[in-house]
Amino acid sequence: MGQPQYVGLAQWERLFTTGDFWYAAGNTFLIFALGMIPVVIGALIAAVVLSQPRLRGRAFYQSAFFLPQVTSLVVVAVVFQALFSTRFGLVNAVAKFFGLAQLDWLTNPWGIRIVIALMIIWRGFGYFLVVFMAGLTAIDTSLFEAARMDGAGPLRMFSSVTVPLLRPTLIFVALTGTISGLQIFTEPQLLFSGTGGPGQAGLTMMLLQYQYLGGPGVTAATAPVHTDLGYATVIGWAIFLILIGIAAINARLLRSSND
Amino acid sequence: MSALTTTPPVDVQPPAPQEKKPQSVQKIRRHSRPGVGRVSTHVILIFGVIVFAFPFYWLVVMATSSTSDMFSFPPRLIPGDQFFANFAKVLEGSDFWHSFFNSVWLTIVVSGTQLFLAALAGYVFAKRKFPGRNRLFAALLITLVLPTGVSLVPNYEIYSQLGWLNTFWPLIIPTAVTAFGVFWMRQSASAAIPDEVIDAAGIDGAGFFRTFWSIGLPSMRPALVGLGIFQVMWTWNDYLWPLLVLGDPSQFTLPIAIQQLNGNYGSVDYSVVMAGTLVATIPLIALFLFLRRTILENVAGGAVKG
Repeated sequence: MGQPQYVGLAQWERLFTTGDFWYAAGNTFLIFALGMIPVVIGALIAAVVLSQPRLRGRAFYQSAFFLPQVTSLVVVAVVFQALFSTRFGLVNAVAKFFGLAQLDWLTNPWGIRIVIALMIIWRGFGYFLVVFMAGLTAIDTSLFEAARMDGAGPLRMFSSVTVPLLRPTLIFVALTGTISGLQIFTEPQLLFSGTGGPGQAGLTMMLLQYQYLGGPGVTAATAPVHTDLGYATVIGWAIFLILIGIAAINARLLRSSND
Repeated sequence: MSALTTTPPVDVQPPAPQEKKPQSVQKIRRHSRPGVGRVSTHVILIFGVIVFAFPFYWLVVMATSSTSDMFSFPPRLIPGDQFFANFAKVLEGSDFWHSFFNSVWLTIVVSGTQLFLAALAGYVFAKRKFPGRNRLFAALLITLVLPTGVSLVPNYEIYSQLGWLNTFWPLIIPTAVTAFGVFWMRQSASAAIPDEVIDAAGIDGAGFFRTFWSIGLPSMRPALVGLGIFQVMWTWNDYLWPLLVLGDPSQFTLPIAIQQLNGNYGSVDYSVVMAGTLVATIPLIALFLFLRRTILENVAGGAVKG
């Protein structure tokens, strides 16, 4: 490892001036927008649907959607890799069957981002669903009755009763969702064994840190990075600062929307 | 949603357990549309379930097919009978049972120590008065906020300096008791154990440890079950940290072993990889189906309060 040397703010300067961290940050937000935002919105809608009174099989649906959450990400990655493989992947086979265009999912930059986003959606949906449903049970049902008496339709009820009353749950989900969503690492690491994949489309902030940490698989990277623990640490702190910043904005937005 | 190393992943885990709300979703009276509305709801939901279950189904299909079946067109959509042939190749090419065994004992040891030590610390933080208690607890909570990225490098350095790389110690020691575990158990201890009972035990002559063992632990049982389930899931599925600290194939845990399998066979023999993956997945799925209700209640438990 060698002796540590004090370099002051040089590593931070490097972070700001070289493009790699900013590229990784932008890419992370892109994947976040493709995966995390749809899964949260989808789970919220599904939770409202599943919370309808007298709906049969609620426990069954809840469990079925939750099941991916207990599977290892390694398993998820292996299965998705197979599904989206260019040569024998089922997705392309189905596309061929229907005469649609086949896509090199795992070599095309947008294909890569979409596959990672789909992994996030598949694994996270059940978790957010369960959390939202718990939040919905805490809402006083008489408020729905009152809104219905006043002639509110389903959409109006959703926006004027459900969403405002679900605020504590929404804050919780927004916060934990951003924190975990911006630390995406395992999915691209597994898909491209430590590299960012073709076109670095799978490079996230955490994956970049892993590369500077000299993690296994990195030596085979198409764009090799020299192990630098100091720089890896700076990347870690940069991620932390970004998360804190977002949490602060989150809190402010949610507070002002309440006033 | 990456579940990383020593800090529990935020994704599975809202804070503040306990006070389980009874599953009374039925309470919510939204306008009840009869007939057609309900049928179409079920159609949509069933469609969703099929989409979400499909990757599991496809895992089974691939694990039970031969590789040539998988390259055929149109692809065969039903499970085959090649599972044992595929799994035999897994055992030939890797130390699969060894990894399986490593995962099992690590999960048991880590979850066991975590439950015991977190319960002990949580009990002390909730029920014993000592100077600096609140400050100490606050300091503990602060470490929860630090994301994995910040602690990854220092942790790695520490264990490398200790000469613990390529041993199991870095997987056991940091998770023997976590800030999250202590937080979770403290919530439970302060809500579930009345001070009077502890005082009464003291009057009857029970010492600290006796009181903890006979009164504390039984009262915290629901929280212990919840934490235990999650710890088992995290340890069983943990990937990044074991990948960094384990070097020798004989030490690999299941996720690492599968990843290696994927690297070695992936382009050649996908059905072999899938057979190994399927076997590695079954224990947790079985655990989930068995403890479904408890798991879902614990996931939801604290989120409501935000």
